[in-house]
Amino acid sequence: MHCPKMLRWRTLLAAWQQRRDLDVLTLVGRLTLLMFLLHPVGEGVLRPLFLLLAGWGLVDPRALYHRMLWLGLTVAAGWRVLADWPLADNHAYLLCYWCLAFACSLSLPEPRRALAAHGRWLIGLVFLLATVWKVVLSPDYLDGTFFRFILLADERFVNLTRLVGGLTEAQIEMSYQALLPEGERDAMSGLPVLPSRFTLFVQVATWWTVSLEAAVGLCFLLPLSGKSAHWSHGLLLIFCITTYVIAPVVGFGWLLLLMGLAQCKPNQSMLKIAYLTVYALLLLYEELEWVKGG
Amino acid sequence: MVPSMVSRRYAVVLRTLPCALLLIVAGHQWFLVYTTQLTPWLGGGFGMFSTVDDGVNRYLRVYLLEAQGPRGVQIPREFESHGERVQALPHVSAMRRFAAILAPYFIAQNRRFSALRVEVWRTMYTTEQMRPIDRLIRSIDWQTHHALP
Repeated sequence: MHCPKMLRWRTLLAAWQQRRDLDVLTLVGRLTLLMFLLHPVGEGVLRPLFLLLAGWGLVDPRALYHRMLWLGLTVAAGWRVLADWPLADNHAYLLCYWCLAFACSLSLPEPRRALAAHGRWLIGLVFLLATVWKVVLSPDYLDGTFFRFILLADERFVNLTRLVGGLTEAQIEMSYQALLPEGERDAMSGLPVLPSRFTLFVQVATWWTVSLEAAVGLCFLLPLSGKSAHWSHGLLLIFCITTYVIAPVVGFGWLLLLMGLAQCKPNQSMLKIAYLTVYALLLLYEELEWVKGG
Repeated sequence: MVPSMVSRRYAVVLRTLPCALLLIVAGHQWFLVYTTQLTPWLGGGFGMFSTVDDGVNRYLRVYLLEAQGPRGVQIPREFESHGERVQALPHVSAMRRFAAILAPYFIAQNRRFSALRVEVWRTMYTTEQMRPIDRLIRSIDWQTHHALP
């Protein structure tokens, strides 16, 4: 039926395709493990355990594709959440789901496609939940109270408030004293008159954040294909570039980027480069003064 | 036929497990927020950066109920991390456990009190003026006779 030459070409093509699939998987796997080294997590015995498992996966290429490595990381990440209950941050949970997604994908016939699907659904659900909290469940997000408070009272945002909001050092200090809980609060101090630039900044930050989160959630949950699927990646990259320049939770940003990167098709080299660039950018963000706060 | 059915089911589980887990945890977080006043920032429901009801806006107050009336006391440093968990998730049983840990500390200091009161408070803010409004979330009185052998 088939000539031997044709069969040989098909075999070569299949091998090449498999190699390219493995490239995406390897890249995402290695960057996930690298994240544990760049940002060590866990306390006590968990921290060396994470480092050991991540180091093993980076040094031994066979371990990277072994589901036991990822199951080990899942158990460690889950243990971290339980040990810290209820104080664990949301990205500690997400890390656990991502390691589990990797372990599950490596047990399936087409690991790259399986991981891409996990990444897509995890991003969609995370952004959907974040949007529901902001729009429906929270009593003080849409009216701007949340951003007004966090920009005035959270030390991590002091430099941003000064730079973009146009507040002086004295105004920030006065606001901080007025917003402390009863007992610590200076009873005599009230909130100073805030510049209109600050009010505008609060409005923009409030609506920009929730609109972008809703858009990312929808794009990843809806079955988009072809060029419209590029919107999903574009919005996720914009979200990471604009959010983590302000919010000091780089670990969360890296996880989202890795989930996005996992969805790159083997021939989407430019998209992969874009994800890698933003991954590196988040590392640089940590060195920015206003991200450090204070 | 049976093995292929099993492997197909196994594949479905592998394809859905992480997201199913995420949804179960998020549902549990919603339940705790509405029943036990868990702060929306925590618990794996992705409610971070959506409300001021977190961290600095939650605080604990501890009183020794003495013959002269309630006397406020400072939470000793070694119990602060336990206190953080209680103020994030002020479940009655967690508050009782916290009181049971604190009471022997004050008894050892020869303080005389019939009960130890633990209160969890939350500060919210008015929209425009950002005027703080402090609200009691939950309060428990833990009788010291529980501490007696």
